[in-house]
Amino acid sequence: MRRTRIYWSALALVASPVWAGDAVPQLGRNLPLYPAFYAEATASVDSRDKVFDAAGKERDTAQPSLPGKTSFPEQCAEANLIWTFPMFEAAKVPFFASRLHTARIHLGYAQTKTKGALADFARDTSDDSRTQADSLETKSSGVSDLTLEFGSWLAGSGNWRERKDTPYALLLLNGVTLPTGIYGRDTPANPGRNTTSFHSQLGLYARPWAGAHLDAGAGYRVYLKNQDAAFGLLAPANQGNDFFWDVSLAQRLAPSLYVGAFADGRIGEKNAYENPRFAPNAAPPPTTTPPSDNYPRPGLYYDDGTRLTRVGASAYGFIGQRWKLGLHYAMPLSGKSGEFDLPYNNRQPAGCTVGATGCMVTDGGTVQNVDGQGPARVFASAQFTLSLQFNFGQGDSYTCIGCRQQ
Amino acid sequence: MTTTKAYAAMRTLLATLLLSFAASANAGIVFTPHVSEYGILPAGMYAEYTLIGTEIEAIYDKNGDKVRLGAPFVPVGDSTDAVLGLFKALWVGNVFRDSDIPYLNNHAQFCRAIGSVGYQQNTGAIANRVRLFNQRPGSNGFGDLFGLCGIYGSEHRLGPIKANGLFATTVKFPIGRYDTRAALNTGTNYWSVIPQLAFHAEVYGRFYIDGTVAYQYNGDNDKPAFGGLTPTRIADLYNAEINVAYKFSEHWFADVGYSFRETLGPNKYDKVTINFEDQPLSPQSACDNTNNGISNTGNMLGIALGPTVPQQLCDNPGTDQFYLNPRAGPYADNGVMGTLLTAGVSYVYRASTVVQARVAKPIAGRGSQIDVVFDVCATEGCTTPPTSQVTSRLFGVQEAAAVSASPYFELRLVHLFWAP
Repeated sequence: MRRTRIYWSALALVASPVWAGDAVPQLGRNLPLYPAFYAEATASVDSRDKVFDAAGKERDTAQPSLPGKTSFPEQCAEANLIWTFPMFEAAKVPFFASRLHTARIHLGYAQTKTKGALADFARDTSDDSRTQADSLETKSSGVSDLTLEFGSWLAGSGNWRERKDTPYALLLLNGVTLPTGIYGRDTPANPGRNTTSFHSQLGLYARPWAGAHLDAGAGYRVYLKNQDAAFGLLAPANQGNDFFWDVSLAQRLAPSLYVGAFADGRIGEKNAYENPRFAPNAAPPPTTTPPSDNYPRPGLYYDDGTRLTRVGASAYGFIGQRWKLGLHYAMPLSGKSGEFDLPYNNRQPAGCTVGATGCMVTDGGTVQNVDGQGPARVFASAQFTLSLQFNFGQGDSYTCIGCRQQ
Repeated sequence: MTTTKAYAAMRTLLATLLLSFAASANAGIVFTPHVSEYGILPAGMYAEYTLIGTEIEAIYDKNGDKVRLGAPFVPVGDSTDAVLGLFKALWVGNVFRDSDIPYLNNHAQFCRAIGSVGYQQNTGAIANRVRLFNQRPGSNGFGDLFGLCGIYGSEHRLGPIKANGLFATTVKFPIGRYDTRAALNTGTNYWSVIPQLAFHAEVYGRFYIDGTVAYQYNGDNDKPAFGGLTPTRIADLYNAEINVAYKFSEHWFADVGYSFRETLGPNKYDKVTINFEDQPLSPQSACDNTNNGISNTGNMLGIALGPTVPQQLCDNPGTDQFYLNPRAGPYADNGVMGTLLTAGVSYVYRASTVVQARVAKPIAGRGSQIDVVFDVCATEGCTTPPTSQVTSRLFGVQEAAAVSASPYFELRLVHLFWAP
C-alpha cells in the first residue's frame, strides 16, 4: 500500500502549457495527490523548422514568406514546484476546509536561435536604420517566464486522510504567467513572451478501468499587451487570447512502468500588430531621382488567429520510491500561424520628414502574408521531452499518518 | 528659423528626451524586514518565495519632488511595470557545535542565498520614446545573486521582553541580466558588500520587533547602461529599517515597518553617450519630442522646462539641421535617498509555512539627476568644433539612481522543507 501511494504521489502535475516549449500533458495532472511537495525537472528539444502557414498548410520552413529555409531551434529546461495541501481545516472555512488545494510554480530556461533565411536578413546591415532593421539579432537564451498557479479540487479530494481510492476528481486551476523570461526586442524567437497572461482551466481525472488513468482539461488564457513587441514589432503587441485543451490516457503495463497517449491543442484569437517597422519580404523602393525609400504604413493590423493540435506518446518509469522518469514525444497534427498584409508607403527623398514641405509620400503597395513572429508562429515540428520528478513526501510539513490514497 | 531659435528648440528637446525611468527594485526591497526576520530560528532548511509587483507612475527628482513618469510629454497612464520573483534558501545550524571554539560553539549560524527573476518594462508612449535613442525600454531575466552568512547573538530575557541580535554580511554577485542598451535591467553589473547588525525582540509574546542597520559598499560599474545614465561610480549606501508586528493568534500577524536609505555622497557618471539614433535632427524632431502626445498645435510643453516650439518652425525642417554629441562626463548627482512605509498581514500554517501579503508606500525620496552637456555641431559625430553647447538635466536610471514614488505589493511564501 505504501509503495502504491508513493507512486501515485510521484505522478507529475504539469498542467499548463508554457511558452518555451509547450509542456506535454502528463498522467495524473488532475489527480489530487497526497499532500506533499513535489519537484520536477523537464528538458525538451524542438527543431522548430516547420510551421503551419495561415492557410493551415504545413511548410518546410518556419518563415514561409521568405525564400529559403528558416528555423528557430529551441532547447528548454523547466523546473516545476508543486504543492498539494489542505487549507483552514481547523477553522472549518467553508469550501476551503473540505478539500485539497494545489500551488504550483513553473520556471524554465531556454536557448533559442534563428537560422537560415531570416537570420541572413537579420545580419544584413544595409537595411534602413530608421526601421530598426539594422540591429537585429539571432540568438536569445535565458530564463523563461514564471508561472504561478493555485487550484482547488472541486470534487474527488474530500476525506483525503482516509480515502482508499480516487475514481474521479475535478480540478479548478487558476494561474498567472509573469513575463520574467528573456525577451530580446531585436530577436524573432525568445524564451519569454514579455506579456503577462492569466489562465483558468478545469481538469478532470478518471480511472476508467484497472490500471488506466484518464486526464482531460480545457481552459482559457487572457494576454495583456506586450509593451515591447519584438523584431520590428512583427510580434503581436496584443496576442489573441487562447482556448486550450488536453486529454491523456495512460495504462500500467508493469508495477513500475506506464505508457500513455495524449492529444492537446490551442485555438488563439486574432493577434494584433502595432506599427510594424519593416517586413522581411518587402519589395525594394522604386528607383527615382532623388532616391526614395519605403516604410510600412503605421497602423494596427490583425492576422486570422492561430491554432495547433498535437498528439503524442509518453512512457513513465519509477526509480525507487521517490523518482519518476518520463519520456514524451509530441507531434503536431494541424495548425495555423499568424500572417497579415502590410501596406507600404514610398517616400521621396529618402528619409525626409513626412508632412514637411518637399517630402512626397505615395502608396507603395501592400506586402502580402507577412509572417507574424513570436507567439504567432505555430510549429509543425516534433518535440521530445524528458521529465524527472522527485517526491519530497514524508519530509514535508504534512503528516502522512493514516493516509490511504492510491 | 534663426540659429538662436533652433538652439532653443534643441535645448528643449534635450531637456525632455529622457524620461524619468524607474529603478530596478532589488537591494532596497530584498532586505526590508518581515515578521521575525532576525529572530533565532530552529535549525533547518527554509525556502522562501516572494513575489513583488509594482506599477511605477512617479519617481523622485533631485529636489525630492514627485515627477510623473514621462510627464508632460506622454499621456497619463503609462508607467514602468515591474515584477520581481525572489527565491531564498536559508540554512540555520551550528557547524561549530562540537568544537571548542568559544562563542561560535554555542551560537547558531546561518547562511542564505537569494536569487531572483524579474520583469521590468516601460509601457506605451514611454517605450516608444526610448526607441528614439536606440535603447530598449525594458529587460527581463535573472537578477543578481545575493549570498549572506551570519551569526546569532545570545538571547536575552528581561521581564516580558525576549531579544537577540545578529551580525551578517551580504555579498551581491552581479550575475543578473544586464543589457547596456536597456533603460531597465534586472541585474546591476556592480558588486556590493553589505555588513549589517540586526535585532529581534518579543514583548509579552505579542509584539515582534525586528530592526537592522546596514552599510552597503558598492563597486564600480564599468559598463553603464542606457547611454551612460546608470552611474559608473556608485555611492555607498546606508540603511536603517524597523518592523513591528502584532500577533493576533498563533496563525495571524499584522505588521508595519519603516525603512530609510541614503547614499553617502554623490553617484558619479563618467560615460554618458545617450543620444538620438537618427541624426541630423531637424526642428521637426524637436516638435515631435515636445508636443507629441500632448497636442499638435504647439506651445504645449506644459511645464516651464524651456521655450516652446511653435508649429510653424516644425513645418520647415529643410533648414537648420544639427548633430548632437554628449560630453561623456564626469558628472555627479546629489545622491539618492528613499523612505518606505510598509504594512502587511501574515498567516502561519502549522509552524512550517508562512503566507504574507504586504504593501509598501514611499514616503519621501530623492532621485538622481545630472546636467549633461551636449555639443551642437554641423558634422556627424561632432568631428568639427561644436558651434554651441546645450545643457540638459537628465535622470539617472536603474537601481543605483532612480527612486520610485509609487507603492509596490508583495506576496511571500515561506516554507520549511525539512522539519528540524
